[in-house]
Amino acid sequence: MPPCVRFSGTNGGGTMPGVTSKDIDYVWYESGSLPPALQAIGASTGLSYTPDQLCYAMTAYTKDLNKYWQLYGRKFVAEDGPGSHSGKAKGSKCHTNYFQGSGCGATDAACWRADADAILAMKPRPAFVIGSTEAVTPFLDELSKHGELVLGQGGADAFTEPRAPYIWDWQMSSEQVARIGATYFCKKLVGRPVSFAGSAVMHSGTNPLKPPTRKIGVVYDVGVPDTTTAAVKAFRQTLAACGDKNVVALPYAADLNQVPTEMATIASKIKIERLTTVYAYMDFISAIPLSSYLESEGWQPEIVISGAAAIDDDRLAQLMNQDVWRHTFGLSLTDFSAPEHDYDFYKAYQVSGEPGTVMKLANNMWPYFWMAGDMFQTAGPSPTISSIESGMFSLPPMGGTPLNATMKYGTPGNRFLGQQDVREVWYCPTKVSPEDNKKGVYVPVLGGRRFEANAIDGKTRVFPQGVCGV
Amino acid sequence: MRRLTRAVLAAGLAIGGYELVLLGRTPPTGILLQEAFFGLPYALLAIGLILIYRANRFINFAQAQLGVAPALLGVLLMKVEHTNYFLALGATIVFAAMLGAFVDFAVVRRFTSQPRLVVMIATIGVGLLCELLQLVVPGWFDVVLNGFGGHAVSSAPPSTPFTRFHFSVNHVTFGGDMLAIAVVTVVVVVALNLFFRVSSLGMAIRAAAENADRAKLLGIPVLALSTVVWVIAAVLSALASFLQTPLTGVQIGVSTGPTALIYGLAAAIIARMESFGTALVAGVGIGILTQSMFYVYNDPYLPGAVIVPVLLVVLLTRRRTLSRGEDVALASLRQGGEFRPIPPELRRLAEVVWGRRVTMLAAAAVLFAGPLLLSVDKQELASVVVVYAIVCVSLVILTGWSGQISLGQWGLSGVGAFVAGWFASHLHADFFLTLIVAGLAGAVASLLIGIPALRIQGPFLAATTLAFGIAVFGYLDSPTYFPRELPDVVHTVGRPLLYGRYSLAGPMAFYYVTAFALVGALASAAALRRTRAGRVMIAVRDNPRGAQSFGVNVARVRIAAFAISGFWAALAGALFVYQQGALDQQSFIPDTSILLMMIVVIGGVTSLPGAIVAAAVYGMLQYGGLGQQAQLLATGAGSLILLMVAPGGLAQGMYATRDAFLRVIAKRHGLTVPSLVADRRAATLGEARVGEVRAVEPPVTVPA
Repeated sequence: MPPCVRFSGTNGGGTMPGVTSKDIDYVWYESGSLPPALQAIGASTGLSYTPDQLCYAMTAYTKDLNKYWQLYGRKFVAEDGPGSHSGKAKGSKCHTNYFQGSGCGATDAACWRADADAILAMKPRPAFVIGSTEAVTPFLDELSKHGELVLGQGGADAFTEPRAPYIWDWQMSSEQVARIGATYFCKKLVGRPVSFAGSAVMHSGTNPLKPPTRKIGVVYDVGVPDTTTAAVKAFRQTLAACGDKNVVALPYAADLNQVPTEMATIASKIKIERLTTVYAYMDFISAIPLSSYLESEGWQPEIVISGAAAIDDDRLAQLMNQDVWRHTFGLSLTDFSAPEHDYDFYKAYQVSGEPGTVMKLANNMWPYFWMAGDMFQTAGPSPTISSIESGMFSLPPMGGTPLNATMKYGTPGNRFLGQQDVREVWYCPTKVSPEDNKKGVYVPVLGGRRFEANAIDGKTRVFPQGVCGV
Repeated sequence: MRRLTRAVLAAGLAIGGYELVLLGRTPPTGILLQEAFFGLPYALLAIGLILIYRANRFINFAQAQLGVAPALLGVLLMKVEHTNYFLALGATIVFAAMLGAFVDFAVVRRFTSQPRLVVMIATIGVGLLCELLQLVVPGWFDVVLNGFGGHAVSSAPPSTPFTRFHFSVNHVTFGGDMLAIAVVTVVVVVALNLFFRVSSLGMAIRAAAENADRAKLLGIPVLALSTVVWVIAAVLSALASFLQTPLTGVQIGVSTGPTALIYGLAAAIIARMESFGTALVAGVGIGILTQSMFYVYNDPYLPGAVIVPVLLVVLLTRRRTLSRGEDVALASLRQGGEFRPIPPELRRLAEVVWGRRVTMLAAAAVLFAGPLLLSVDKQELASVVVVYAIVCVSLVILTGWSGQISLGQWGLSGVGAFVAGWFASHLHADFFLTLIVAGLAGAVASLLIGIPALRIQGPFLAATTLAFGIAVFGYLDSPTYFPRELPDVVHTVGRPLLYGRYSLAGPMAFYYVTAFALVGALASAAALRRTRAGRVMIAVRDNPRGAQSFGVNVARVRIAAFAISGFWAALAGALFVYQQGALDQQSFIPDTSILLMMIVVIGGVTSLPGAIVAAAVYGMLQYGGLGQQAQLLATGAGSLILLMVAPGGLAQGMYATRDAFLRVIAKRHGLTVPSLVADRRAATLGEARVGEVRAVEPPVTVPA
């Protein structure tokens, strides 16, 4: 299939750094510094990958971009990192270029900034950098400060908007997550009796025979830097406007040494405050001890997941205390539950002709390539940073199917972080996940239909035999 | 009766303080009890720290890490091999005991004749190796961290025989696993108290701690007792880690940082590094205080920050005399081997003069031209390493020369960074003015945390400074608390254009600024060392009472050391902010302070060149492209081996090389220099067998 936009004539040549009449040079940044604790989780959930797998996926997706997107006579070329940053030799069988990061520790901001400076000093300077999934804020800040286009890990509107238009991500902003979460709560949960919690919670009202009205708490990570507190404030304000002024804030700091004690206190607070419903606006690592402590408290509230920080992944949900997590439902940003071959990241890999099957984490990787293709196609023959911005903003919303989230850029206040919609899911601890053939899966409602904030309705969809009966 | 009165007064003060900081908003009883349970692991940690301190008179920085690998072994036995809980616990204890004994044999015994400061820093190396071991243990079960092949282990908590048991207090439910920690902690405290008071082994350990030489003369096997203590400490650490796993889940590869250590250390300090019972109460108290603050104020950074005022109040209100053992230990903690200057007989010889010039030129060439060979990113990182080197200079002044142990020096840099970030981004102040104001702010902050040092030193000051570093990281450098002062994406810190002409934007241009600042710090430190003030500082370090008898104002000297070192540390922090063009809160994690202290000791704590070389070596290890495990191995094992071979650090090797060179020169000139032959004679005579007669060196000839 040829590109869907026709073009003949000459392109503008070198219209921006990294762009020539023939090439669009880009850098794939591979940090190589996943902390051991996350490596262990990755190993236990099958989400790790080898350098060869990375190499094959990069090669495949670059081929796809050059074949199916209108690049006006140019093609994407992955640049090799200079000196010790060369990613060429990292794969044993496959060979492609990438920038091998210095393996900076998560807190070594100086190291991350230095890696960014090495990219900025590359000749030719790349047109854009794909920051992979491990890049941290100092790295993105350093690149954007020097006018480099970066795709990846924007995280929050509060971070991307002041750095406009240099940091883009297809993923949903943390503010948008909180906004959609607030709508979900307002439409479906606020002011209604609790329905899906454990028996202690169901009978915790003044009349034990009648479920109490929902009392809501929100657990969230006050990270470094903190981009969530403002979003949680907005969440609580929205809920106050729709009738619940008593949402309890439960912040924590995701320091792995302190998380267990923090989660124990939070679990106790949830019970003492008689919270019936917890909005888990949190990372999955911290959710593990929280679920354990809630179980030991004998208090199994409704847990409404936000979908952020991979908390909606089947394989990670299987690590939680299942007696507590069986009361989980809410919002999922991605969909891992369908067989892999149904997804674009899988199909794109297959059509490229690269060997074997694609790594699972490519589900996170392919959208960046797709986004890069869209950027340079919509920017026209003479791409510049402003034509890329206006091109992306002019794109109609894409996706919106069960397997592809709606991507829309340019919404005021949320211009650079694409994903707009969510699925509604319910967790079933006894049903087998297609991801790993183990028990524990998020079951989507309405066949995985996706909802934007304004499409979320007030209906509560309960399955005929309970969520596990479907 | 007096003891009881004091205990009641202390309890009253603690409760009053608790009510004051919580403004009367005490959490419910159930929560208080739960918080008390959280304090138990801190108490276990504190007891381990006290044990080692009582036996060896230094802080064991590896106490939290010692037991992590054995506990992981036990947990993996349960999860992978499905071993019975009690068998797994037994395996954990046996492994921990072996590890403790190994650490004593392989590390601690090698340092018996070395200053306590060196051994204390060696335990940081031990801790790093324990972290490495933690990454190795999963491999024994074919569990791999990178996810290729092997078993996958769920991080979900394992169930134990106690998991099913529950009881409730005031709506808070307590599991059997939590109760198990409580029972074990209380049993440990009672058993250790009995052990030290009643058993002959315990009394022997106390005697050896008080005066090892005398104990040896009395026939007490001091070395064997040290092994017993390390075994107990490692088992305690493993117990704490193993018993917590059913609550926390399996944590593979979680680095045990200073925040984990500080609560235990604070409890140990409150217990005066003496009393297990007080440590238990203090651990529980700290658990209650920190978690109450978290519960009431909903602020996860407050618990870490509250430790500073607690320790300051405890130390300032304490009236205390030191036992002889402690006094000797403190002297040993302060002790830093001085490296002698070039003997006056040789100083003016042409070879020596030129040798010094060539060395200085070579050092200057490496400092100023070396980074030209590096890539852009490494040039940027070279500036960072130079900033670390400036902080190391400040530590040489404070710890090496003044004998004050600071584990929060990077926190002072955080103060400087805060001031520089504010002045540069919001007030657009002049570059040099900003640096000076930042330095002065650091000096003032350093004075404040140094005040307790006038009363009690050693581990007590170390704990306070560590807590200070945690507070600076959590609060002062956090944009959450200071959004109007700290730089952000709008209010940025730009590298300056000096005098409207010289841009410092490029990596090398700014590198030269940091290099000149380092030269300035070195020059100021060297000048200080040469003056009376410097000599008095050394005198106060080596013999405070003797110095006092000569009319030296010890307090003033110590305060001056804090102020000077605080100035340079904060100035380094200010340079760091300019270098980064931002203030990233995560750059000021408290771990860096401990690392910098380690660098200084590895360099040779009293030696300025040693500190600079060590900082450069650290920079190469950190940013030389080693993987995480290789870094742990290089830093942990490397530091241990170096300190074993050369307790005086890199400086010992450097000065030994210089002395060998000087001996050759002296020989060529037919000179016999007493200070150069004295060492060799001592060594030679030491090796001589009884009855053996050795030739004596010829008489000293000094040129006119």
